[in-house]
Amino acid sequence: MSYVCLWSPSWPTGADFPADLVASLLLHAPRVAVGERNLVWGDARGLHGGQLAEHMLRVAGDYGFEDAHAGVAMTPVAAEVAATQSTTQLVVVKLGQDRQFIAPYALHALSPSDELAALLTGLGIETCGALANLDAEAIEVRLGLEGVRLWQRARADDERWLFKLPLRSLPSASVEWVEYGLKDPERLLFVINSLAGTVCTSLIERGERAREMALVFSLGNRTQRTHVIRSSRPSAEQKRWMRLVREALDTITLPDAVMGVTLRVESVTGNGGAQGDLFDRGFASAPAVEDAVIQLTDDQGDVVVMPENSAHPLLEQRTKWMARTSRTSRPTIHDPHLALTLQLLPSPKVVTVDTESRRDHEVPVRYLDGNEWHDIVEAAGPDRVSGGQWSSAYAREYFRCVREDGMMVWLFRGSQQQTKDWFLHGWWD
Amino acid sequence: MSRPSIASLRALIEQRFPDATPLTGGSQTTEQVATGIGALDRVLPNGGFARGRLSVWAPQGGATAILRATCHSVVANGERSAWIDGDNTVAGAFWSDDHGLYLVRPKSRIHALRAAEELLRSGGFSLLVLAGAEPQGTETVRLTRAAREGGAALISIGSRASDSRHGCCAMAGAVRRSAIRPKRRT
Repeated sequence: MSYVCLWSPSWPTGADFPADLVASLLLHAPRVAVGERNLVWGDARGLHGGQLAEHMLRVAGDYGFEDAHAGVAMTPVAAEVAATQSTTQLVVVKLGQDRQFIAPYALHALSPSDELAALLTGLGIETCGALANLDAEAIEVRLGLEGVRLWQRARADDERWLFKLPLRSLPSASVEWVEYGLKDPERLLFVINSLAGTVCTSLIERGERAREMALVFSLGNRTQRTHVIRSSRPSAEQKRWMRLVREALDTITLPDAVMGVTLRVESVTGNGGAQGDLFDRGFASAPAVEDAVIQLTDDQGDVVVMPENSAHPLLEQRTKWMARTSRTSRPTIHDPHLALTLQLLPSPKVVTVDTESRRDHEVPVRYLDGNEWHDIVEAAGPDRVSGGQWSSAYAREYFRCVREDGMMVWLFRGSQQQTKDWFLHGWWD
Repeated sequence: MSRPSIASLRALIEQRFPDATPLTGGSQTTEQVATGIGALDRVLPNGGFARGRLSVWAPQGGATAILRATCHSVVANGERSAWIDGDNTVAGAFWSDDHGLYLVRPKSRIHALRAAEELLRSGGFSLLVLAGAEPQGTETVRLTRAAREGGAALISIGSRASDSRHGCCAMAGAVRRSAIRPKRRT
């Protein structure tokens, strides 16, 4: 069965339809459409229509709508007639029997316009079956386009655009409103939250984690706006995806009211777990660390990094910082030795340096950093390095200097052909 | 400190506080994160950095070297450590990439503090070093609380200053002038 139609004469329509009722219905039906004339549709494709209808009726009853009726059929028109015209609370139309089911009902079950209904009554056509038995050409000539559409519905040939998009292999959920457009961001977020719950539950059941999701807004001006949401690490957690959705919604401005929202998974990965030693203290806390790193990456970008070093002669160009991944294996250093570490300024800083001659070069004897002069008691160098260029013999002359206060600093000067400035590159600590 | 000085200091403490209970040799009040440097662990209270507490380390004088070695020592013991490089001064070419050692390079001081809080609260780290992003005022309280919740030892190193203060641990920071000799041209 393809469609479940719920109808109740007492529940509010349009903008007053309870959003939490829609959210509760989404727990059972993957796609829900709130239609006109007190109708609510559920997509039963791939599901047991009768069971789905029972669940939806129970949800409606929990919200106080005990008078709700449900119809289940292959076509929307048959499901609608079953829900609105039958005295039984749940009617399931047999497979392939939609036209025969509709036939005995009066024409008003198809909701024709008053003019068309009067015209058909005048012609002596009172039931759907009688209308369906007529010739298409005759209907078109006598009753026009509207008559043809009514005739098609009488034959259970329903072309209404309900859940017509092809079923995707990846989880998705959607909500549509036919009669009104949603403008309240809080209600929109509430509905998206329920969509995310459905999608994430499906992911967990399938043993998958989503890497990317798409949020599709169907707008009142008959356009669609798609916003792709990516997580730094694959996840099936509703909380994480909702946080990303909230951040995305803060940046989105929609030109018109929202008539429908779809949340669909665009790409997934398997849910493989990390293998490890239960007696390893680090293994027990690995998921918590992974979550913290994911949160950090979502908030600040790729800040948890590891260096990828090349053989470039200039130290500040030697390192490329790559995002750390959990799957990259790295050696464990079992015997760390204690040694002063070189700390580099993000970019070399120009300083004023006083020098004195020593053999064939100049050595720094003091330098100005900020507003303070620092005397240098020892200067080892020059260590000349190339810059990967062939225009001069060397690019920089480095000096390892010890200040009067004991701090070791790294100064350099460009080659004479390039610049005569002195730079402070870093220090040892 | 020399042995006679320690003995005289102990005698003075016992005289001033006759009811005080010595911590060493008895049950420890907090678990510690050992630095792995024997001489330093003997000097530090309880043999290392206290878990769930904030320790502040003045920059220079070998602070970075000692704390880097501590991070590796923690990893060698099967735990995790993290280094938050608040002023982006870590030289990648000399960074010893280790499996349990996480390096974070945030964009600003505030981002560094947030990263520290996030990692501390996860409870998966035994040691977190916050370099170049000193917490101030209520930020200190917040980070200390996060360290207590996560059970990690939090060390804060100040930014590189133009002053010439030595590190708080004199034995690790001293650089003898005679150790550096200018290279002789051959």
